[in-house]
Amino acid sequence: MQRTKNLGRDLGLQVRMVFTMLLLTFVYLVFSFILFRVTHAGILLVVIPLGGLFFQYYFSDKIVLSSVGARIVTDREAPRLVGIVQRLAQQADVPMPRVAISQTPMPNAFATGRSPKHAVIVVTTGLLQQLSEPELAAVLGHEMTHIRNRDMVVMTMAGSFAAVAAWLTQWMFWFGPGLGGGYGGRRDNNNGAALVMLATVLVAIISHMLVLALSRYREYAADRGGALLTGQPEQLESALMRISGTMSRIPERDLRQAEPLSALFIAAPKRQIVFEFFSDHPTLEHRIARLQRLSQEMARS
Amino acid sequence: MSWLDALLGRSRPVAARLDNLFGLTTATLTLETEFGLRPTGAAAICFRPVSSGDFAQLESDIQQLLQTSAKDAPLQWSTRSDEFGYEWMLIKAADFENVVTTVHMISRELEDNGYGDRLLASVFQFRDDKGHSVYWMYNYKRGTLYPFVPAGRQSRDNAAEMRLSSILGRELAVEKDLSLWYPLWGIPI
Repeated sequence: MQRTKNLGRDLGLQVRMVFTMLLLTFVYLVFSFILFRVTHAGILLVVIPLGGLFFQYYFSDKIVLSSVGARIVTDREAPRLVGIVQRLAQQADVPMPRVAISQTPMPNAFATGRSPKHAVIVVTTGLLQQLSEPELAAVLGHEMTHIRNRDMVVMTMAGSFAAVAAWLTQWMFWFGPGLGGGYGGRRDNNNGAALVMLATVLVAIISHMLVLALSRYREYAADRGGALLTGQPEQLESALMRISGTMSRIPERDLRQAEPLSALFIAAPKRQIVFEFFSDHPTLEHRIARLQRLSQEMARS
Repeated sequence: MSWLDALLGRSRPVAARLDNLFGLTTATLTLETEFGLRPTGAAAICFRPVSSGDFAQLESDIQQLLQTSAKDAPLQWSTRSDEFGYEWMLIKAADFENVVTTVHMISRELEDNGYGDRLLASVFQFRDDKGHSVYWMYNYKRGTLYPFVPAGRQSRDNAAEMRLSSILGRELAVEKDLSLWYPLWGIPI
């Protein structure tokens, strides 16, 4: 019993996740403090983008399905695909997610939906064509772990104030730093506005980087959980290599179309990853190195 | 999976619950009197193998255990893997209680060695006088049973399944959430 219990966790990864989340919370607290102390319109400035974000999160399954043109399939239409997902769901004891296929030659898969009950797993036709069945199962195990770990909620919450800050930065760019006026006289007002502007830009940058870091850690966690679910880390490795190998040959237009959805994709749909630090998915080498470590752990036990 | 586990991205394996398997042995009486269903003595355990030496060792240990218990009571078994990458351990014995005990023993062995989360389901076959097969499926993650009545290719007789579950619900831990009554097409028994 000891064996698999320990395999499920990666202490270093969890420490880093907690640390990132604490940092984010701290940045957000400071940010809201400045917003509410300095401006009158603080609530409005926060509520509008947060409302939009919540809407996006709540209807994520519908929005994503329609934006990639994915269609829900039944077990009659795609018995193998649905069969694999069903078995993984049963094994992981999560509700059976809906399964959708998107007509895209680029091999990819992603999971979305506000809760495990509303989850959808989308795979592209490119993925179905290029992966062997064990590799497909490994990718689906990765997505199943995203659902299990509630990555949609976690990442939406983590990104909430980053989105607010980004929205405010844009807003100030177009309409100037006058954020609904400050307390007292004109000079105070100007100082307050400058402070808010500086804070907003800083928060936007820092929180964006923290969210990206957190996103990468969640990817590692999903890799690990998925590999444990299927019991075959090597299949996920080969799937990742195959996906990334073909991805670099995909035309630009497809990539840009897929860009807004990159958060929960199995592999980031980018032509080249410039710096891992600015990317929401870890590099292939790092993911494979971690999976190989997991294989060794599994063999050692 | 708790909220803390989710927040930290820990995929804690779901432990297998084996306690409710034995309910089937007492339910055979009701199945026979109410539905004319008799156990055929065939059952199967479906699990996802792990690519590690440790697991291969465990599988040969299980073979050893089966050989030992076959000395006490006649028992046949075989293994095969399906197109989904799962392994089926097929068991056949004349005495149904022996079948359930054997399934329990193998599951326990997997669970004790830390592979409880690999268990997908186990299947017990029943048949009526006309030769129609009815299966009782055991969901390890929830410790519940549910009926599965295949009717032709990729379709199932929901009415028969509902009848079975309502009558047997009194004595068996029947799964209440109908969305978890997963079929397994092409059961190799």
